[in-house]
Amino acid sequence: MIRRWSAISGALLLLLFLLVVYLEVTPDWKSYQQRFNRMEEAKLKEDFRRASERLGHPEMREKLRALEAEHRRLRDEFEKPKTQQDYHMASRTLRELEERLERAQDRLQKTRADYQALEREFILTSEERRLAQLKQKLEVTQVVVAQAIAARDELKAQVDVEQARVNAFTAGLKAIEEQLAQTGAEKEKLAADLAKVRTRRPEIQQVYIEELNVADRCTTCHIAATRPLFRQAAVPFQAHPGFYLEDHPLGRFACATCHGGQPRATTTRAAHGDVSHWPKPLVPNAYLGGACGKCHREEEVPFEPRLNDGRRLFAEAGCNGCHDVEGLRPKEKIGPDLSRVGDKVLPEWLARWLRNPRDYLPRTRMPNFLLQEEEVSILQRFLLSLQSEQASADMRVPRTSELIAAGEKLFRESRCITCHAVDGRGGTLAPELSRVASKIQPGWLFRFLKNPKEHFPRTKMPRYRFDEQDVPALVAYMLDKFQDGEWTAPAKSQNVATTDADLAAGRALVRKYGCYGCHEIPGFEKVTKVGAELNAFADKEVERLDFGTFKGIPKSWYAWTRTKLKSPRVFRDSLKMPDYAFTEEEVEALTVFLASLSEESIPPGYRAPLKPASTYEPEGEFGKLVADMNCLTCHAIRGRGGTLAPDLSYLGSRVRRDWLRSFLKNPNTVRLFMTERMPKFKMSDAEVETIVSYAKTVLIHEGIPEKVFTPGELTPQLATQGRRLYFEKYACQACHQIGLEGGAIGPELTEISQRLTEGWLLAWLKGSQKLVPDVKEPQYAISDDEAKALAAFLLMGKKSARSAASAQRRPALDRTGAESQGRTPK
Amino acid sequence: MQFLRIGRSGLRWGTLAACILATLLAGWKLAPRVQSRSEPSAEVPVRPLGLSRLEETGKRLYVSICAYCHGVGGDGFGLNAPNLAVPPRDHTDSAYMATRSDEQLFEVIKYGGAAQGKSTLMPPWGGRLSDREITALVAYLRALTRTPAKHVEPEH
Repeated sequence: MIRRWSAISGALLLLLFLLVVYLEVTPDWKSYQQRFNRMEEAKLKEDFRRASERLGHPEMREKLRALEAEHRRLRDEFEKPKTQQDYHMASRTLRELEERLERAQDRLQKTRADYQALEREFILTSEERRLAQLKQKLEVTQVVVAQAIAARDELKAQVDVEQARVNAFTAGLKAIEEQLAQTGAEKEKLAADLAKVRTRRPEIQQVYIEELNVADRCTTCHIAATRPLFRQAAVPFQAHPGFYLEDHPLGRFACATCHGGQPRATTTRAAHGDVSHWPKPLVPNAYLGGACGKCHREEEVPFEPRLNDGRRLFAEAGCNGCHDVEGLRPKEKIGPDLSRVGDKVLPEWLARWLRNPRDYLPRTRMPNFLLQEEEVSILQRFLLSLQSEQASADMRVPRTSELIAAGEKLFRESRCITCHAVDGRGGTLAPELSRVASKIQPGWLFRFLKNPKEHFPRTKMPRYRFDEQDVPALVAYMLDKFQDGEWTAPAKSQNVATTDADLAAGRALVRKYGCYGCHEIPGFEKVTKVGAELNAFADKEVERLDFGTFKGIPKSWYAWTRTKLKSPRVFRDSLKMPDYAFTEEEVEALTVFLASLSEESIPPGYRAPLKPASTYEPEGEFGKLVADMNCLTCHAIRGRGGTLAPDLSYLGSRVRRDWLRSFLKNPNTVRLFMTERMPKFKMSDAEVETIVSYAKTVLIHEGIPEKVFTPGELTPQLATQGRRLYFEKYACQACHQIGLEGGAIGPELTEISQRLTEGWLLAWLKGSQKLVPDVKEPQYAISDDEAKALAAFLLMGKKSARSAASAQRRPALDRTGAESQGRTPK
Repeated sequence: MQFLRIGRSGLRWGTLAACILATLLAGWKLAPRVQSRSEPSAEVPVRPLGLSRLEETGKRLYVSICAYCHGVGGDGFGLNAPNLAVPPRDHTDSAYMATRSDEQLFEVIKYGGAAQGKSTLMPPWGGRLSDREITALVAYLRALTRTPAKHVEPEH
């Protein structure tokens, strides 16, 4: 019995042993490489066959035969005894000449040396007699040197001639041989490649980068990663898509740096990090932007839209109010200052806001804290206690119909909707005003409109230069018009009393929810942020993420982060993160950004350089005006400011003085495609003059003069040329209007002679992207003459505008596009 | 087994030990191929349009530059379209787009309509956009006429 059992167990052991050996000697990477070799072999064979076919083509064969015949003929010619004799004689002559040339060169060197020796002696001697002697010798030697040079040059010329003659014997032969070689070259190369592939042995491919301490073996299976020939192949043999490897060569970056996984492994599962306790599994393609963000910390990473969105959203949504991230700490808190909020808002509104901010303002940045009713009332009472010392009684503002009408007119002229939307129309820079009557105390609104910085020092709102009767009119209009239809404020605002216990409870809630992260609140200036700091969030292993009792999502970092962003309190009851109501795209963008927050050490050579921050600070009177009217909210100067309105860095070089003056007094529409318009601030003449003179002295471009053309240089003939270029060659009318005809994308050009300086116009035509990097205009290679002609056409004013309009009414110059589309042109 | 001085019982125990060792050995070798995380690491999230990064970049460029004439959705009815003598191309027209190769699309964007026998109202963008940006635009143009069912995994 024992013998039977021993036999069975022995056989089992043997089988298992063989199985183990088999598994050991056939790792999957070998099979991948073999499959790839076969694939490449098949491809090469196909190419070889095609090349042979091409060579075997009768036309090709004819050509080859002709070449070979020519070759034979030339060789026979060359080998004729007479030719050989001539050739040998010519070669001998050449050799003799070369020897003579060498000797002549030596002689030249010697005479030069003699000359230099004499010269040296001449310089060092002080004896008079010797000097004269040397001078004479020098002159003689100079002549000798000149002669030697002439002799050498002559011989050189002779040698060249003879060389050419010798070459002539074999030139034709050599050319034919080269041609023959070329026709067969492709086939030979393919044959060589084929032989190489056939004898290729399976081998582990490794990229070792000392700086990053990585030994990357991904290319063992992903063999063709760097070979664009295999772009269409199937994974894992597909070449790396896109142009990433051009900028990030394998030899410097390896694969796992961006893609994750386990670079040293040699089995598929292990290499992809698909094993327990490997902290960095393969990054899904959708989140690769996170890998880019580890080294590219700049604002706009090219070709990574979701990473850029996420980074922007992180700041705009105010995430860094609770979650600290180094390098993303804004200078100012993102929410309004609450130090005197008790002066500003109506109590009922405040309660409503705290319950759900989006109820009042759908596009608000403030998230919903999902407060209990009791918490709402405690916070309401606490915040209302934050008032200024001189608590003025609630103001009574008269609301006569004349006042309201005047206010409406002023509201329209001041173009408040540039920043404040009303009923969905308008800008998003500032809160929507559609229901503001239910929110603010009238007295506060009055004081704020008179001087915004008094209540809110870092407000972005400009101070309009309103007259005495302007502000009451505006307030009357706003209170009358912007009411909340669904919810009316009580006629007399409720007086909410706050006890000390309330204050303590309120402060406790503020500490609990971290309101001070986004709002300035007295007493909470130095408190630490309430959320977890996120500098190494991407490095967090999935085992350390708290899934709580929530099931139904895969156990991955990405699933956790996405779920957390969509429903922040879903994992546990005690969580405090508020609800931001992010859209699917926003969640996606933020997840990509968060995947870039890693503290893995990156060597200095690998970090992308950051743009240095702007140090521009407007000075003097101009600086005061800029602060008062908050110009930099919309405009940028030298890298500092907003992007809502045109960049003013070169304003002085760009526009004419008179135009700027009239524009500032009464801003009109220049760029038809922009939906926002500059508000009318009612500036005084002195203020306008300050701005104009600052622009003309400081905001200039060194290379652009005001005037360029001499009088008489701009002729009607030149303008005619320019008109032709405008309408026919460059089709500027597609985007620009002259008179009433043309496109509505670029600025209208009818009165451009009054707006732009000559220098700017010319510089712009030559290359607008150099002046404004993100301009929407295409860049043509316009020559200097064409630019002058175009400038002449544009500057010749209204005369051209009229004839331009009639030119537009002529039949369309190109019908090809419309006809091929089968659509009739307008 | 005389030379090894192992008796019958020794053989029994030896065999048992060999079996255990063999099992352990096999288990150690086979385990990595069987054990893995609870879900595949390369999960693909559900995205509204399923655009790859290159296509999304192309979309941003399209909306910021092309949409004025060709429309935000690519249908040729942009804000500026009524001002043009020749209507802009409808990029959502699958039948037409199928007749143009990627190279032709690239060239018409880079060198302008005139270079392809089309209207000069389509400017050459080669000076303003890099080759890579134009590649991104072509990728987005292809995505516009791609039917949702066909789109599987975005590669890059």
